[in-house]
Amino acid sequence: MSEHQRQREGMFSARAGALGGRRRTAPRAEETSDVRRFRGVLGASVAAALAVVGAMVLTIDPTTERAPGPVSVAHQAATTCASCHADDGQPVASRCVSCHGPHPSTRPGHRRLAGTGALPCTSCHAAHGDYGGVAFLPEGAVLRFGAGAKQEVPELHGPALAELERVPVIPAGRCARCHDPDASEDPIVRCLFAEQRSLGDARPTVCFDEHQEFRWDSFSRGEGVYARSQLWTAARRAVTAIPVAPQAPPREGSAWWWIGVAALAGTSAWGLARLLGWVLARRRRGPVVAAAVEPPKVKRLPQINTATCIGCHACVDACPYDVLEVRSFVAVVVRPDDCCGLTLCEQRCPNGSLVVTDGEPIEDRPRVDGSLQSLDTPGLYVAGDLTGLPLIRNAINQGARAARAAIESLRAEPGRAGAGSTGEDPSVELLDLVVVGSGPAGLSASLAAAEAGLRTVTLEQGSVAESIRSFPRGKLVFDQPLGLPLEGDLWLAESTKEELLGQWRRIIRSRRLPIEEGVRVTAVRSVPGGSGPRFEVEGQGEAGPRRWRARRVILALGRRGTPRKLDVPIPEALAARVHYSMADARSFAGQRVLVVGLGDVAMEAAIALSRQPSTTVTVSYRGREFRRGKGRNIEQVERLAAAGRIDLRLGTEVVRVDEGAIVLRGRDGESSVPWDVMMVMIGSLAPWGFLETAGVRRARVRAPVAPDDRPPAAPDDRPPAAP
Amino acid sequence: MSDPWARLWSAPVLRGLDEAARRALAAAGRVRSLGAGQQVFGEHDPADAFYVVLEGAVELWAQRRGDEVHSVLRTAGPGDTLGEEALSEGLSGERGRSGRAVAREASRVVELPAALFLRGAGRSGGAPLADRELRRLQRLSTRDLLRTMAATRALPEPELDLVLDAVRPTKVARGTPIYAAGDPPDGLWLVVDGLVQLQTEDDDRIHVRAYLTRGDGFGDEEARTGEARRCSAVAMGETRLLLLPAAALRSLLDRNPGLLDRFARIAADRHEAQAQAVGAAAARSTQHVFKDLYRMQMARSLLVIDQETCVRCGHCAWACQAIHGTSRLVRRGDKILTTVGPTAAPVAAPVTTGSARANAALRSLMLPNSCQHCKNPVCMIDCPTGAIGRDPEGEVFIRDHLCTGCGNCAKACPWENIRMAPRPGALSVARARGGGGDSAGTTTATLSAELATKCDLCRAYEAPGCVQACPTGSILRLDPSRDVAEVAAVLGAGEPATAAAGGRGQAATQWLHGLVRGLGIAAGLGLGITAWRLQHVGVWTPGAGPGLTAGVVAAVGMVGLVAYAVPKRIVSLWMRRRRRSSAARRLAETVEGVRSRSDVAPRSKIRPWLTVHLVLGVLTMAAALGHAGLRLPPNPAGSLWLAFWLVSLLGVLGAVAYRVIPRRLAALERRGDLPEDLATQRRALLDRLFVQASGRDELVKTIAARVLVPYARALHGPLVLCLRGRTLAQEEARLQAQIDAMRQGRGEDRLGGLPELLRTAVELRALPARRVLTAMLRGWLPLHIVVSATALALLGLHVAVMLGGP
Repeated sequence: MSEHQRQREGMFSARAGALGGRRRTAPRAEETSDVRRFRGVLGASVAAALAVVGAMVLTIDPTTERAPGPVSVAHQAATTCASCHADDGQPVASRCVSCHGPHPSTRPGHRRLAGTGALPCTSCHAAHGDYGGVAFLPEGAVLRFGAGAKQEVPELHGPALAELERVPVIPAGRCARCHDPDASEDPIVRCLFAEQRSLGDARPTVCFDEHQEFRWDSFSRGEGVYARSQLWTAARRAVTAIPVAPQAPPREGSAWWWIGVAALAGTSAWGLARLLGWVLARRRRGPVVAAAVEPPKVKRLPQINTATCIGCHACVDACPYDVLEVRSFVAVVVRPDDCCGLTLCEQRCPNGSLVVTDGEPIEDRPRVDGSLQSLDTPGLYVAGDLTGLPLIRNAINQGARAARAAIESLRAEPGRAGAGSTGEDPSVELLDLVVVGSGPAGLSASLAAAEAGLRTVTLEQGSVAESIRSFPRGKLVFDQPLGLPLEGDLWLAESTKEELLGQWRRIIRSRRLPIEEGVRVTAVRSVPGGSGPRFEVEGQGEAGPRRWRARRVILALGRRGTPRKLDVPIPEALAARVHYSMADARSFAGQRVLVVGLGDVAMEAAIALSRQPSTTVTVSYRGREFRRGKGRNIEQVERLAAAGRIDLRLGTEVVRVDEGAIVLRGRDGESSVPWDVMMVMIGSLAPWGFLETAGVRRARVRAPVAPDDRPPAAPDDRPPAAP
Repeated sequence: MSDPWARLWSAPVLRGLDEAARRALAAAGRVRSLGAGQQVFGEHDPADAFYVVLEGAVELWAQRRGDEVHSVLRTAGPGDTLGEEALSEGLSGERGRSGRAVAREASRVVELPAALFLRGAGRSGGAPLADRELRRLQRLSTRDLLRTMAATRALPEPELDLVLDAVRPTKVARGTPIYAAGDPPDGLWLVVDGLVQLQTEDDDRIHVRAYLTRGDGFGDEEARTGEARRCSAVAMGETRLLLLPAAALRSLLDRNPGLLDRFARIAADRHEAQAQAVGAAAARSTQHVFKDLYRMQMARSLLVIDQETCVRCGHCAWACQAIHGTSRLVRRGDKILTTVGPTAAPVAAPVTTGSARANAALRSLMLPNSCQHCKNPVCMIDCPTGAIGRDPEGEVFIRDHLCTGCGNCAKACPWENIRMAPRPGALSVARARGGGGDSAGTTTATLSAELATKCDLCRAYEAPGCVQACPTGSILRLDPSRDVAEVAAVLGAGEPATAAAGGRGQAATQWLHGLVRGLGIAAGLGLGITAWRLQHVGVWTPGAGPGLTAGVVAAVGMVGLVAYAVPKRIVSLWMRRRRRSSAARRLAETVEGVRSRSDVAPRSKIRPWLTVHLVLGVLTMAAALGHAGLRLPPNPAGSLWLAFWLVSLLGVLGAVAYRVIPRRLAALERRGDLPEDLATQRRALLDRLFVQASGRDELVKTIAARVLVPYARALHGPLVLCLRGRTLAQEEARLQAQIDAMRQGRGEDRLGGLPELLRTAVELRALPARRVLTAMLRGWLPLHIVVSATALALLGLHVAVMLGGP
């Protein structure tokens, strides 16, 4: 690492991230997945357990369950449990004789043991769990059989027999109590096969003459001993070929079946519990309160009871415009001009010390009803900044509200599907809705309309969300989520300008919103005819004049399109050096910039410009002090001014714009500022000319406001104030 | 009124008080007689009272900046005051008293509560009197402070007076610049309290030059020469400073030309030590503890979760919710990679690798959203109703019945550790009030619907629930400036730890757990194989003899295994309430060095049960093998067999996952996130990728499009990342090397912003891996529980059938 680099890098480097300082919204307790994780698991467990117990109780017979294994097929058909296990004190083994007859062993040793009762039938033959044997069919086929299964021994023919003959095969393990199968002198070796030694206790023994004396008459054909020995040889061959009796595959399905019942019950119980929890949580949250979207008719201001105010900053943080501040532990209204008239502060005040009161009626606002429809031209809606509430969240709400009102009135309109009536130009398609402007309000309206399946188009003179685009790079879009719920589908959260734009672009793309960019709407005219209001929208596109016909129109122009200009004449040649918005301060680096105005936009521009290398920033403002704007911006401008980064000239006015210098007049005479670029950021005007030709009238000053004229405030969920 | 009090009122600061104020002070204050060498107050004691010397002489000792030892600052005689810093918010600082006061000879002093004095002065003389007295006392304490500061410690008394006249006290909020590079110099800044970071910025990166804490000074060089500031100074937390304006500084230097030499030497020494500590840590990792050093400086009891052993079960948050109604712990937050110092309780180490690496290795510690009980809590200062209080032991807590739900504290906490929650029902409100006692006037109706909630270290109980509930013992409470080696080194305040109490004991427990588990598993395996052989050849049958016994053992084992749910889910079983004692008594105990609650490292109550569960599980499996073997019987007993082995399989999988995955996962995450956060992160990361790429050089964009995006999009990528065992940093280095190889040395100067893009790309690739690993850690347990219940039911049925009559 070079010395220079070391010098630059210091002890360590990190990505610059704002340190989390004080926030304006209080984080809310979260119910994380850690806490919710096992909800419904107890219910599922109980359900699964109950289900499996229930299913089993219904399907199984407990007596068969206690049996060490299933009985052989022949026994299954002929016997019940009681035929062997009768409760009369007789040993189980003695029962065999009742069917099979007494046929004691031919071997003296075995017979002696049987006589003492030490060697009952069951010590060699098991009723539960069949050891199987070899069967000789009359036609000569030889079968090796086991419990519930049989298998033909290949390439082996038994002697010709008159009837079926079975030779039972006993596994050597049954004999191992007395015999040692591995000892060469033990008589049992004659029954075993040396090569099957590895099978251990499962080795088959064919003790051929165990129960049967020589009986010549049992063979109708053949020659007695020879045939008998043939049978013996064949049996030995059969067990050589298939040493272990074939077994029917166990009925494993049943074990899985019961588990399956449990799984099904468990899953459904879990799902139900989750669903129930979700429904309950929804109900607890209550219905989403309607936002106060209607623009205020009167100037409203917070009033603070200084005796009860505890100085908790709740109102200060709730205000989107920094109207309030806490001074000496009490909240005060410091920038009354900026008050938006919403009751966000009142809603947040913990002890009712702050009430928003009505004042002067507001002029210069469009006359609209509760659904934002123009009172003068039905079918025409106004949404967004035009209504006098410059707040992104509010614009989104108003856009959605206006679109929904338009949709409803369209539904109520008879014969919507029919073509237009007389006097309409049939060559132009009649749309349901035209949205003028694609800022937050326009996009929100467009989304709602697209959702409802209207035939709609959104016209934008620049590009989508131009107002947001014109924010300085990386600007944090503030959002006050506490007071106002968000209506509609448009995404909004505290984010940077770029994040917000990215999200919106994604929404536009995925919903395929019909937005036509580069179309400047020149006129909106109400035309007679049809069963409802009809409008003609004229615009100037890149390719020439365009025309649309629509049943409803939403005007969401915003104010940005018509910035307020200086009263001073600006020479034509210099007009290119005068800007009314600034998207990226980096493009002005190294220039001498004069910023006119001291609102938030102007301050943010000045701050961003002052960060650029070798850029001179002069700010001219008519007022003698900061009158409006966010506290954070004011603080920063003051700091930068103190540090000499910004030349702040309060109480000055632009009087002349020359090629080389701009002349400012202050209290103590005129001074000239050399300039390359001028930013005029002294607010914007509502485009009244356009609005009035479209049919939106201005509200006039009226007699004192009636008390019920007050716009509906958001529901007050505060507990009653202390007396 | 006794004699000492009468004499007291003639002391200069107390003369203006009226009768009522004197009565109040006399009632609350106390006279202390001290022998020579006895201490009036100690360093770091909470500063809430000041002292007036009645007779004798008391020396004020403090460590001057740059010294190793304490020295006498001044001697207070009769009528003089001591410990005035209590009166001025800020001078007392987050570390309490800055020095200790010791009686030089037999003395008598009066202890006066600062708050009462301020109120009394305000009432008797009105604001002017209170202000005057306050100013005087503050000047005294500032003078003491200046005597310890690196820049001013050598000044003679008259000069000190001039400095006192010139300095301007300032308070700066967290994250606010004190000055920025390029600003004209305003003077010499002295740090009274808090943390200042000197940094230079280029583009989106900041380069830290130095950390400055109490007693340090900065900005002298430019102030002297008049150049523009070369770097920026940013307050990392709420910081209090004194500004000595440039003019005053210059005249001071004219009179004392050698003054700054010593200061510069002290600063250089400190800087060197810091650079070493930081450099050593920064070289090892990018997730260092210095990202938010202020947090480390402030925290008194910082909750950390060792991500390498944490199994992400979230039982800590669940237990918190079970105790408090709403969880005050959200398992999400920054991660640091650090060495937990030798004095700290060792972090739970993986069992089989032995305890050798337990202390030495770097640990990935997550700092979740949970109150860290700041030494100087900003929430407490900001609370308008005084609902936030602090125990003598340092626990910061909220008095529910005083909380108005205004949210000021929740907004003020820089780490979002206070959250607003709906106030629990009227019943609990009444109970809370019953406990508080003094708010009989409040009715339920006036209590707000919302309430600020935060961790209070379960102060009603003997130890915090989260720590006790952790099944792996991964949660710790640390005092970073003592327990985290890097922090102690950088802040230079690493006084020898007093409480290494729990350390050795915990290591022994660790070892014991490992031994028990190892033995249990070995025994289970041996027994299992033997039993299975015996069962297989038919020597043991399920219905009789040893086979039946094995069955009974397995049944008992199963019941025991299910019983693990009892301590796990019923928190009240082991959360023992603390013996209630008055605050005064607790204070007295603390002062007298009685081992307080905080000295005993709380241990997990669940961990031993998990060990038992594990060992019992293995043994039960062995018994089940002996009873029923490995063949599935085609009957209801077969269902039990199936359920049991399903549970066992899930349990074994879970145990293996718990053992293997956390470390892998820790290597792949940059911060601790909840599973639900991961679900939404992909889009955010993609956004970040595009934002980072925008406005960069064409070369960087090409690299992003050709290498990084395909890298992040590769389907097999997460799997490879899981299997390779690399950390994110290693993966970044590998990718960087790959890109370097492709570039072949071209375009070195056009790579601005590439490291950030690399980071994002690697994180994008790691994200699916993290999601899968987290799901593997968490997915099996609900199934395990449900199937366990089924198995238990089947066991009951099985036993009933087998025992039942014909």
